This record gives sequence, structure tokens and C-alpha cells, in this order.
Amino acid sequence: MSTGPLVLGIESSCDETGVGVVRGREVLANVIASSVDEQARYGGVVPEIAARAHLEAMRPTLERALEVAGVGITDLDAVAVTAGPGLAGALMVGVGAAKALAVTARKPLYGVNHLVGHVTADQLHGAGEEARPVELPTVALLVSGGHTSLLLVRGLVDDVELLGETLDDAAGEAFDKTARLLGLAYPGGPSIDRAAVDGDPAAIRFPRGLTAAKDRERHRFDFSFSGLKTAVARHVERAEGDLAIGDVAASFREAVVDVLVTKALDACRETGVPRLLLGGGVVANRRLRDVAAERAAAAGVQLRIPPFDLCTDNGAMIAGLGARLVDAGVAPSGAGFGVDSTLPVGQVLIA
Amino acid sequence: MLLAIDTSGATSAAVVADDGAVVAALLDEDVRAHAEHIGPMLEAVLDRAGRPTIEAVAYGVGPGPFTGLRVGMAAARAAALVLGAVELPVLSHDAVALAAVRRGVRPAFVVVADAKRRERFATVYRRLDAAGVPVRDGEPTVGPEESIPALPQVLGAVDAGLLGAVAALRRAADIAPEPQEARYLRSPDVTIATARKSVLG
Ligand SMILES: [Zn+2]
Repeated sequence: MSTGPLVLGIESSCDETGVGVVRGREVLANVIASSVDEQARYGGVVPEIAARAHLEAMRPTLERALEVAGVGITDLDAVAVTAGPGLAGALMVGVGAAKALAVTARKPLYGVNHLVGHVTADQLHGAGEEARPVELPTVALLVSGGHTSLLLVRGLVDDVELLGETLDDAAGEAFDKTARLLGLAYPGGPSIDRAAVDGDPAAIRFPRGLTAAKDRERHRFDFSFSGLKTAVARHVERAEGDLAIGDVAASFREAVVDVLVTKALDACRETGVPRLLLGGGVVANRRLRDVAAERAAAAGVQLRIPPFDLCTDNGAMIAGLGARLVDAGVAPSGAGFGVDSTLPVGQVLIA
Repeated sequence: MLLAIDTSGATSAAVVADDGAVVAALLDEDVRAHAEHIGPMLEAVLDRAGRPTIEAVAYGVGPGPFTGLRVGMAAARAAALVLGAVELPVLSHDAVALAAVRRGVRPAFVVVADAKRRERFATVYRRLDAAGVPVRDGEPTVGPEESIPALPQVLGAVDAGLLGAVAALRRAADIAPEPQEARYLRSPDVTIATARKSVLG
């Protein structure tokens, strides 16, 4: 029987409506409703469609999570909700629901940082499973359709530093846009993976953004995928009817994975932290996991990848971060906080 | 007792008795900060009313600007879940119509509200129901000023006290509530998200 605060967490920053319940670090429920099928028609996340889907899914998802966890709202010690970063209209649905929950049930409310939630996922464990040791400090690479960030985490609730992030597209977005260029389905990650199965990853040398010597000074840990996308577009244009889709998909994926892993391990070296944590939906990509595992081992870096349902956007990681804040004795957010679509990663809790 | 919430324009919350009498009500005309206001406002009306047993949660389903509208709807549904209360969706314009009738305006009239993009939301009312609440004639519409029927126009913020009164009076008269869907009246703008490129702020 694990101990620790019983916290419900709500996540609605992008296209997943997530509600999780944790007791300390143990996940009692992690329920997710996704609007990805509705987004598929447009080849990307349409903010208004995501927000509408959140409103419809919120109450059923809350009910289901409480049912799965086998707890009542009155049992909770606190409620946590993603306050940012993310899509403002989507975030507001979660915050509106969370505030009403907290006020009517008279529970403390924590408005928390989505990216730090992803980092928290690594410390959670399933019901009845052994607790995972907390491994800090760590470098964290968070990659999804909404973000591509490299963090240095020394303390979950009080010391998270942004090392770098994407200057244009998120990595997941680059997969989606490239898939569209190649006539492949949304979301781009899985469809590019399927197309790449028989492709040669070395067939085309696509550019690795911000890896040139001149970028080392200012953008050593930042990412840029717009040049890569343009290069693929130009390649497709030139190839006309003679396009080897498998080679393009494999070579594109290799370029993305190479940049992500190279920069993450460079961050480990620079900071002297021999630990790398992966998070975000793009972790589903097998090639990313394989290359990261191989190169981390060669560099003497310990690689940590939480289970997939804790890597994608979810409510359990938000609940988990809320539980850490309760444990640390941090005062809850005031009732009057708003959402912050660009909430900096250094701000774990919104005031 | 009923808890009532509307964020279809302003942010408003109220506690209303079963006979429609307003016990506590607050309204903030700020049309931007719904997510901020909803927490303190709910807390204040519930405290002022002495934290009564709430059997129903009434909420405005619009029409109104979407982003704000959803905050109140999400809050109301979550509150109903916590309180074990029934949900009573109300067309937001019904509250404005009831306010007009109580001021002595008689149907027919049209409730009009800003829909941005130089358009208006409009709902026509032609009679009162058994509860004494104005009944809309057809569905609410969105369009330019010229598209609004030539009837006396009624304007005003949606007061949750009156929205709660609409729900309470209709409930007492056994009139079915509105469907619970948001009245968007517009299809979503298909613009792919790019908002999360930078989190440096
Ligand atoms: Zn995420």
C-alpha cells in the first residue's frame, strides 16, 4: 500500500483530454480521451476542434478516472491542472473544470506546468508495481506535436532549467507536415514509420538544423525543423513521379532522430549529468528509442523512458506533479489564476 | 437550491432558490478573463449563500464567443459532478429575455449580442411559457446587423441570477431543460495550431 497525497490531475493543453489520479507516486487511474481522429481530416491540431472536444470529454473522463481509481472526490487531498504551456482555448476548459471541482469540493488547487508534468511521469509507477527510484539531476528531452524542449532538472518542484527548444516547428509537427508532403496519413509519426520500413535511412542526406559550427554559440541546444521540411519538399518536387517514398521517409526520420539524440547527449556531456529522460508522444517512435538507447549506452549515459501511456499527454503526470508539490509543502495556486499558453518551464506552479 | 453559471459574454455566477429568488449573484463584465474569474466568483456566491445543499446546476449554453463560453460550461458540469446535482442547461439569451420581461418589455422582441467579426447573435421571443419565462421562436442565429428581424431589440449581459431563475421556474413547472450542447452557431475555424512553438514567452 503506497502512501502520499491523493491527487486528481487534469490535462487539456493540446488534443488529449486526460484525467489521472495518483496516491503519492502510484498511478490509480490514467484516463485519456483524444480528438486525434477529428484532427486527422485537417492534418494537424485545429485549436477550436480540440477545445470543443475537451468540453464534451471532460465530465465523462473525470467520472471514469474516479471510477477506475475507486475514490470519491471528497477523498482527494488536492486537485492539479495544466495551466500552460499549450493552446489557450484548450487549457481554459481544463482550468474551468478544475476550479469548479476545487471550489465545490473545497480542495486546494495547483495550476502546474505541462512540461514539468512530462518530467514527473518518470517518477510514477503503476498500481501494485515497485516504486521507481527518483533519478535526479537529469537531462530531459520532451518531444511531441506541441513541443520540443531540452531541460536540465535538478529538482522537480524548484529547479528546472530550459536548455533549449525548437525555434519553429515541434518535432511531431515536422512529422505531420512531412507526412502530408508525402501523401501519408495523419498523425505523421506512425505513417512515416510504416513508410520507412523498407527505406534506406542513408539514401538522402537531409539537413540537421542548428548543428553547424556557427550555431554552437547561441543555439547549441535549440532545434529547428523548418529547413528539413523545406529540403524534403524540394526533394519531392525534383523527384516528380520518380519518388522513393520509403527512402525519403527513412532519411527524414533519421535526420530528426539524429538531431534530437545528438543534442540531448551533448547536453548530458556539457552539464556533466549522465542521465537522459525521454518524454512526449514522439517517444512512441521506435527508431528514436533505438538510436537513443544505442548512443546513450556508448556515451555512458543512463537512458530512462517512462511507459508510453505516461509519455503522451496525460492527467496522471499532472496529478503526480501536484502530489510532489503537496509533499514539498508548496502553497496552492490562488483561485484567480489564468492559463498561460507560453508558461516558461522554470515556473513549475502558477501563482 | 440551484447554482447558476454563465460565461457566454460576461462571467456570472449565482445561487438561486427553487422558486427562482436570487440568494447571491455576481457578474463581471470583463469579456476576456473567464478562466480567472470563475474560481473566486463561484467561491464567493457559495460562501455568501452559506454553502447550501445544491440540487441542480444551471448553465448557459450560449450563444456567445466560444472560448469564454466553454469555461462556464466546463465549470458547471464539474460542479454538478461534485455536488451530485442535476445539470440544467439554459439558452443564455433566455436570461436576458427574462430580465426584459421583468422590466416590462412584452414579447415579441429579439435578444441581440455581439458575435465579433461585425456580426450579432440574435434570438427572437414571441410568447411566455407556463413558468412565465419568454419562449424563443426558432433557433438563435448569427449574422450581420441587417439579418436581424425587425423587432424591438433587447441587449444586456447574461446575469446568472436570472439564468438560474429561468432554470428554477421551468423546473418547478416541469418544462424540460435545453439540450446540453454548446450553441456555437459557427463551424470551427480550420487553422492548424502553431501556438506552442516557443515556450520562452
Ligand atoms: Zn506534452
